[in-house]
Amino acid sequence: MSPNRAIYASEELEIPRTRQVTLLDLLDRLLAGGVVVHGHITLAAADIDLVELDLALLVAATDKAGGR
Amino acid sequence: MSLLMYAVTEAPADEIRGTGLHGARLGGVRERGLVAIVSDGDSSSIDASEEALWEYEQAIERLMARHVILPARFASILAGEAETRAMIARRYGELIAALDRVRGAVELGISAGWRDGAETSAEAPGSGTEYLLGRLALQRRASAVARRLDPLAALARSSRLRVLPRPALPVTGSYLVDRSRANEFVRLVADLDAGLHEADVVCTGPWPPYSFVEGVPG
Repeated sequence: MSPNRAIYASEELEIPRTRQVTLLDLLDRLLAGGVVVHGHITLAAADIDLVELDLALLVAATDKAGGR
Repeated sequence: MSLLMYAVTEAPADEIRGTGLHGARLGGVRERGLVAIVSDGDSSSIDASEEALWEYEQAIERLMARHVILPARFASILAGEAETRAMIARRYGELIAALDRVRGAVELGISAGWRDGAETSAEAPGSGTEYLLGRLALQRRASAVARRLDPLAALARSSRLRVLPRPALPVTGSYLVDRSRANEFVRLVADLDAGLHEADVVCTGPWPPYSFVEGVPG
């Protein structure tokens, strides 16, 4: 579970700062989104598509990612 | 020395400043008016940890505050400047189109969770048939929650939803929203959350547009 972390929010937006961002929200974007510079291998694990960048990272991340 | 890429932008190379992962200095590699924002780095220098992911995200958010960017997938390593320029040249049209697609917008996420812990009954021990029927029922309930979130799409340029990505989450989604409509979007999420009995819905962000850089049709 991610640290109790306020959502990054600019001053212009009214998103309450008490919301938590889970590791899953982060993984879905940083590992499964963004510009891809090489042909990554995509693995499907527990209904989540993740990119295999480094097996250690993948295993560590899926161990920690969970529901809300 | 290989390079770690953080984003692609249109800004001139000499405006790129700041730090990236593990305090590495950022610079730009320019090709045809596009700039790849990079730091020195190789795969062994990337700490594979949750902290590193958050640090990377913060670096990208700092860049997003100053430039229109296409964020790079975490740990995007390029062999050097020549390979970086070649990558930009090869994908120039696609990158330009993506920058136009995200210009003036932010990514807002939604994440719905069950109010009543419905997923636990779906995973209770029983026969295989019972399990499958339970999952089907959960899928139907999740689809119903997703339909209640339809009004959000009207406020977005583009949206991507996942229904029941895992048993505990009826819906997760990403929306590409004009900055000028972001507050309206957040308020609508709160309104929809108030009216939903089965699930509670949380808005996350604003995120750099990770979910909308790879040619997803609007």
